[in-house]
Amino acid sequence: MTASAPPTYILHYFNVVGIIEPIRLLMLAAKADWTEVHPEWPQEKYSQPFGRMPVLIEKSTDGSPDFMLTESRTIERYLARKYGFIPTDLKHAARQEQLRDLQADVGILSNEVRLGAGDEAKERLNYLIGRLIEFHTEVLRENGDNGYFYGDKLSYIDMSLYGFFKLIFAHPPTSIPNYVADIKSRITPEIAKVIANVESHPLLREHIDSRPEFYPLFG
Amino acid sequence: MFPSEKPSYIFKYFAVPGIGEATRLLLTAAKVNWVEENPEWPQEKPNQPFGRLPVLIEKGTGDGPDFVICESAAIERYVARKYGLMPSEPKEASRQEQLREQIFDIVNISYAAAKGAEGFKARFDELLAKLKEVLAMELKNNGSNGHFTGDKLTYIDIIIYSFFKFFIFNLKAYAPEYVDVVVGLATPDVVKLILAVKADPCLQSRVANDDQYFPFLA
Repeated sequence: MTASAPPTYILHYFNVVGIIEPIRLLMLAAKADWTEVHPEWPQEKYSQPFGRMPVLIEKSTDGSPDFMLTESRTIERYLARKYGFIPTDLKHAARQEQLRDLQADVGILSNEVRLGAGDEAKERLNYLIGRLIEFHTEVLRENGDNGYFYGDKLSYIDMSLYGFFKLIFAHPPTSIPNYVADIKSRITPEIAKVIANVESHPLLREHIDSRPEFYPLFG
Repeated sequence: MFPSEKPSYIFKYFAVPGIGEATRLLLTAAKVNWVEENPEWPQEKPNQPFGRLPVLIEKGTGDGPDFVICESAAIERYVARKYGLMPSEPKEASRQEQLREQIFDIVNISYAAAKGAEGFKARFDELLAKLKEVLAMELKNNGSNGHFTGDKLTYIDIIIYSFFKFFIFNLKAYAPEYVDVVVGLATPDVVKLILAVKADPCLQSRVANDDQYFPFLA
């Protein structure tokens, strides 16, 4: 049986930092063959398979229909599993997924505050940012404080944490004074090591450099 | 002393259907020993890993430490994968996970929509219409046999079932004007799925009295 050619991917999204930063990093770290398409929006909304973005299209190589996936975290997990960036051990995988969901919840809340949510949401946001930093730092200490969440190399959560901070720094709520500076001051050395590892990774460097205004992220 | 062979679980949540219902059903379908705790709230908030519920504790077998996990979707996927309820084929598993997230996008947006926030209401309506379309198409493509994938109970069957169960219940409390449109999502194939879950022998201890949650079964 002949081996099938490696898949090629098309990713549909807006041309922004956005929630798909982890997907971009996963594709780069996987050395996947991918292109990004930025459909006219909302004109092309109804021609998207799900009326929403992001959409990942894995081109079929055998005449079967292309595989299409939406929902950013589902896309992330699909790629992370496929390319070995999520531990195969169920418990370690669940720990990573849990951290990712927390990042996403805080990202969503940050966006809600940016869109006008009031004091109660701001307080909750401040609390959750603190918990997020604490929790991620704890996991990093358990892994030996080597700048990686799992083992001694880049995994899903290293990339998604980078993507999370970049997202909230790129789209901060203006109603919270010094939002970005305050978060930067709360970052622990353990987390800073992870971000530095992501930023210096040979496969990710070019992408990091393409947005110099966000490099270094904790600068 | 022999260590217990199968882990046992403590599921912490509020004493309501809610987003925890799917995990209750998954644990039941997995046929593991599990108990529920309903922590005093908000007193117990600081004692939870992220200050929120649900939390699942897997009691260590032998001398191992407990495994604690939060975030409802991560809990669900852990239990589903561990106990063979998630399709093993990665693309099919992703399709199920995708639908779970689409369903929860609707749940999450319903709060803002219920408060009358204009943009959110339109989005909520749009997502509901899309979900109805997706459910109808997927169930038909699988042969209208009461299951989303193949011919037996898998993860997303339980998610779909618990969505209708808790969401209609919750909407009656904070947005009764939306109950009808959600009930309208229960097309004949969806009803077939709900009845199949409800009839599943391994779920009887949890679902026997569930008719009250499904107006469209009356």
